[in-house]
Amino acid sequence: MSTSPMLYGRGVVRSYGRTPALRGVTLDVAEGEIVAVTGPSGCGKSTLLLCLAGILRPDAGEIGYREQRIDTWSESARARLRRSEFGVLFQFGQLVAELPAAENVALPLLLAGARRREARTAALSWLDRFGIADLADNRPGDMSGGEQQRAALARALVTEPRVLFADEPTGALDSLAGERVLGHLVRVAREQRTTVVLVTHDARVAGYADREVMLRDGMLDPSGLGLMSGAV
Amino acid sequence: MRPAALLRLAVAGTRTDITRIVLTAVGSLLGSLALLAAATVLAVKQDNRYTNGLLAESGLRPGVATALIMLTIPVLLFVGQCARLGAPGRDRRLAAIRLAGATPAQGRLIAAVESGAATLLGTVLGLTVYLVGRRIFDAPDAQGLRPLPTDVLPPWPALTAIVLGLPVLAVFVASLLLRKVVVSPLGVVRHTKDRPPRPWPGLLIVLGVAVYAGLSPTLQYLDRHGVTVPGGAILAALFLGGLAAAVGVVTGAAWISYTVGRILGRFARRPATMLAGRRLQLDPWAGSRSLAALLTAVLFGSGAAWVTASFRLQQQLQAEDDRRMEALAGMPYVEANDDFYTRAMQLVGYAILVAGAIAAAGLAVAMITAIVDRRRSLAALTASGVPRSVLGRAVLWQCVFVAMPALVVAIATGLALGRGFAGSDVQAGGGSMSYCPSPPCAQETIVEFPEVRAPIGVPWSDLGVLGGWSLGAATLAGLLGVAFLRSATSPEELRRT
Repeated sequence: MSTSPMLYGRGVVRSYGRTPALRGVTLDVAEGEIVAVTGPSGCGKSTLLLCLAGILRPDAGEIGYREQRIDTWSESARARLRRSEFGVLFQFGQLVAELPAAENVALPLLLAGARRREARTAALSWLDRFGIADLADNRPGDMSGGEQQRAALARALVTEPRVLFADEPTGALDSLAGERVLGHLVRVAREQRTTVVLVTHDARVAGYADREVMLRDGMLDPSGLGLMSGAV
Repeated sequence: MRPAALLRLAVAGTRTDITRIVLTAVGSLLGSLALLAAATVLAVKQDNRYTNGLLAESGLRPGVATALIMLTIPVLLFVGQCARLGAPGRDRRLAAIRLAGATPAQGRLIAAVESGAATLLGTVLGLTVYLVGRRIFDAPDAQGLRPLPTDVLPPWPALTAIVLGLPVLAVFVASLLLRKVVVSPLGVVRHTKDRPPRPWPGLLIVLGVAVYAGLSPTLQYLDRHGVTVPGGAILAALFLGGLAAAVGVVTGAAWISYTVGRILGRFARRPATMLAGRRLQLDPWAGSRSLAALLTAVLFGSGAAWVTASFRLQQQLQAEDDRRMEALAGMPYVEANDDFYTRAMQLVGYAILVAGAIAAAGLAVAMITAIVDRRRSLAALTASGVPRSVLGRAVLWQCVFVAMPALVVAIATGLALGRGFAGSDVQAGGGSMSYCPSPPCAQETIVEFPEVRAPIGVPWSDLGVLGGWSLGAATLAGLLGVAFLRSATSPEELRRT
């Protein structure tokens, strides 16, 4: 790992009302690294991912990317950063139900001002890479869960982000579909040296990562015995 | 983001979104037609070119134009109600677009452009209907008199202002409403009012009534002092006074809703009434929003009923006066067919009927939207054993229990406006007549007729029809909501996110 992390969180604190979700988490992620954040339900792993991705602003602490503190940036500036540098993949609900797959994938490019034809060409190329080019004109409701997730992965990667945030990306899929999505994700990340922050409670998913950090009650588990130790 | 992409994202949607766009377009079509008609009436320069007296006389045309502009108020409220149709789905879509990298400003722009595009579609269609209608209804009689001013076209800047102004207004209002909405990548958060509504809108009602009541004495006072008030200022005062009263009644409905909910919550013993009461207390502004257009139509309907009653009484007193005069003169009494003003008010009544129908449609849209928006929690209640009939009654009570007192307030305010505008009594007679008791006369006898003053009676029958009709519309809208309850409470809804 290089001395200067690509992405970091320092003493990150975040609460929902009176319920604390993160109590001073510090985490460094190096360029090209795949880090799995694991832990039991409600331990704050999704909140940590949302803070690192600039979607949530921490109550205290710092979030940094490429030596710039980003948690103090405006919402618009963080949105632009996410659009250009980050990709986000959730368990479900991230695709726009009313748009066909190709337009969903093209969306970040359209929002950035790309021409429709160029954006569609790029989207089709990504759908093709993930084996769902024939579903380009299907709406999410007409696709299986695995196909939807591959479309969502294509959308997360269409801007060729430097960091990909994935929150339980296979949580709603059967094991075969989950394996396919993860296979695509890890292959592209390795090819493009994309940094990946992967939240999961599944040992098999965590097994794809270079490193695992475990959260417990909103703090990093010092024992360091994560799911990977028992990964299949 | 390029304009084409912006438009694509703004109009992307499900059937519900398309329904919202279509209803918004229909509303803005009607609104633009009313404004185009008002602009046409104002553009008429020459008198006595039309069969309709309201259009033929220059003194009456500004009043007709004002009535047409007033007609746009319920239409715009209807458009506002349609904007809430399918709001949860739109919220999810905006959140998903934000997650894909849209900035908050882009999210707001997409939502605002949706309203603007639908309104523009409506105004362009409105202009088309207007231009085609001018051709179709242009039917001069043998004397060259037309029933409508189809020979006059408002100046092009006015046409452009109407066709483009309404969409710009829609975008502006949508942006204003979205100030309280935070569209984040994780969902949509609405900053709702935490404090219960207060009865302060009553002051707006008082203000509106005071403007109407004070207008005539003020004009008389100014006239005595040689000050001439321009007609535009009088119209503006009438419009603003009416608007203040309407806003007062509509926002006051929220306080009524909250108070009724509190009373029901405290004293109700049956589950349906308790559910209705708590729901009214929880979201008192929903009642205000859904009844807004109907209350406005009823307010003006009630005011028009008072003015009609004053014209009718005036006509009656005048006829009695004429009968006495002609009896003295030994001439057979022939009833004069001088019902110009009552016929004019009949036209106003038709306009209010149209506004009422639009308002009832808006109320139905609001009721259905309220059910569809809460379908998941309603399905959960049904799944946990609450009978659908209880939920149905709760929905109905929610509508009717607020509508009843709110309609009473709207009718009373309308009457007060009408009384302020037309006065509380009517006077007639007050002349003298010379006649010859047994011709040939050496000397004529002069008979003086005393001035007759009669108080205007409350037009109970008109108000009964108005109140009954509007309460019936509210009940029907509630029942329509109940009809949607069956599909909304299906167990399938529990699986929807």
